[in-house]
Amino acid sequence: MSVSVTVDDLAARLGGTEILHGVTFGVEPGEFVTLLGPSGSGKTTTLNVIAGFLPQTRGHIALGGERMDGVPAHSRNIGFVFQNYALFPHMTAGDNVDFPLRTRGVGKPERERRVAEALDLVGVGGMEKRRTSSLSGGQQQRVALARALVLQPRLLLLDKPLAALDKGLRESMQHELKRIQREVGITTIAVTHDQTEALTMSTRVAIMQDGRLEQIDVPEALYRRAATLFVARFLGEANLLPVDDAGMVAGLGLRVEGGPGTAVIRPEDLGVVECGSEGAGELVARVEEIDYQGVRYRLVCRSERGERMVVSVPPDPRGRPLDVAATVRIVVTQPEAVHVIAAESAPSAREAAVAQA
Amino acid sequence: MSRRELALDRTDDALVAAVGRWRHVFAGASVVTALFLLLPIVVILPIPFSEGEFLSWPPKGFSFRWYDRILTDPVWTGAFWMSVRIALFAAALATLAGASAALAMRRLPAGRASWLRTLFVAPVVLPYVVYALGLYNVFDALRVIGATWPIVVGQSVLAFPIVFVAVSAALASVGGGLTRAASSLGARWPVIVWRVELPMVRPNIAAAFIFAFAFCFDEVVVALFLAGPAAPTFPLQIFTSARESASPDIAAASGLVITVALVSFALSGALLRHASRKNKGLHA
Repeated sequence: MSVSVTVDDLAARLGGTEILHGVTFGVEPGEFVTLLGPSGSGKTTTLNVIAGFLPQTRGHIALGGERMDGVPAHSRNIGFVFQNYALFPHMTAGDNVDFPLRTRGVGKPERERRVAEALDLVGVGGMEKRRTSSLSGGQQQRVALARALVLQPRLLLLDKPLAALDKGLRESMQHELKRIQREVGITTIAVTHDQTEALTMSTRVAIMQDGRLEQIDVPEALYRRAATLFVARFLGEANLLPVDDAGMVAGLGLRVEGGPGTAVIRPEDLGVVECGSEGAGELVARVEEIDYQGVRYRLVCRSERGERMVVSVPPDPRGRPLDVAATVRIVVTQPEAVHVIAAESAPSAREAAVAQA
Repeated sequence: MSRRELALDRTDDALVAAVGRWRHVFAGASVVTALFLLLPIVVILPIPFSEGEFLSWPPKGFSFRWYDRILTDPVWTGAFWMSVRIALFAAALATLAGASAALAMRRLPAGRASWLRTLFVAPVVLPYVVYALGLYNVFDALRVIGATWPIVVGQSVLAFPIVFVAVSAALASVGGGLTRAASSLGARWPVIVWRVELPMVRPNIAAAFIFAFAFCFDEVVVALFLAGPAAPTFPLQIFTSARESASPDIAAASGLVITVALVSFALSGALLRHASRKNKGLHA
């Protein structure tokens, strides 16, 4: 029953201000797409418009090719899990899951069976009679999920589904959500501001900023081939160096394709060597900070020209640690991983999404 | 929820610490204010237990004769049941209209809702005398002065804001999240009202009804204009008797009015406490 979703040039207002300025993307049937972005980037608004809680002012949404213009929320057959779960406090867990079935006028024996099945699916089987206030946060989350899935909706929307849980529970629920989503095979769009959560759960991640879609792609591609400077900075750490007309990366003596523009070099694609050994593609810098992160060291360096560079290196097997204030040469250890964002093109979200499709 | 409550407690502690020694002054001022408000009521309570023939302070001796009289004299009992009947109907009418208005307000665009809200609480600041005079003119033209239902209608309008404000506040704590959740689960608005919103604010509606009843029971202005001389309401009977005599039965009647008010207050308080326990900690 899962369908494709098309969001085309979507704009929406909240209290007179335009929050979304034309967002376009597509979701394949059965896919798990996460909208990721800083707060105020319009991701929850996008979700609310898809659910029918907020009218769009421009553009349209289609589920399985069927336009949703003017279709009220209660007729869209979309499951929605709210950040605070929005369980009905005057009903038991079972009655909460039963609510949509009763609303549809499903017969009692079938309702009881489907409620039990839904609770089983999300791992809280047998809790029909429990009061919602007696459930833990994780259990409430599962009941909310069962309630959203019990009508076998065409699409599942998750609004910051794990934000209210503590860290350990959040990680196990990430895998649970992924398992349930795969088991049901339902097209899912989630919203989060947690990068790890987005990268762990989703098949593709859409990065939003200021009511626009910056880029939508598989996690690896977002990290390796950022379409915009915002995406490069937003996901993980990045060293951004200018690339001149000749394709030379400033200070590194490295020639790259795709310039002029900005080279995105990830910390793990750099290395350091102690001063003295000369070579191409090197930058002299002073180590300012050293963070030990378990498997790697994260070095923050300042080049002679004043650029801040972050380098991630494995510990020296000989066990000789670097010193703060040491002078080093920064070398590109993975030149093929250097990605260039071209200066003149800087594709808009719309074009990027079209190119994707 | 528990985390939020903790944070709230800490704020209170901080407040107490910041106020410091001044809190004794504030406490003193609160006690004086409370006494000022309650003293006239406290003073009147022992008077009807007096043996004397007149309203006097301090009361002389002790007897139940005055209470006995107003509970048996048909003039007093007739007025009492008249007031109970009128207040019940007026409160029911106010509750139906007030709760419906509060529920409808959630479904209007913010701008229009704020206009209507102002209109709906307007009866609170309305000069009651002017309003009652207006009603009198209308009902007089309709030749229905002396009937009971004009009083019911008049009082229910005055009690309407009480219900409207109380139910609106309760609905605000239900939040839009539950309504959205219900509509995403396929529920249209009548189902949402009936199975989500009403059940959650039912105790608040009951409490608002009791408040409205207490208000209508001792309402005088509308009753004064619209009641026929043959069938006064209870507060009107007190008013008339006070002008004619200084007998302690007036004080006994006042004691009865106070009892009705206190019982209403206790009942609605218990309802609201029960409600907040039941819905604790789930909806944000």
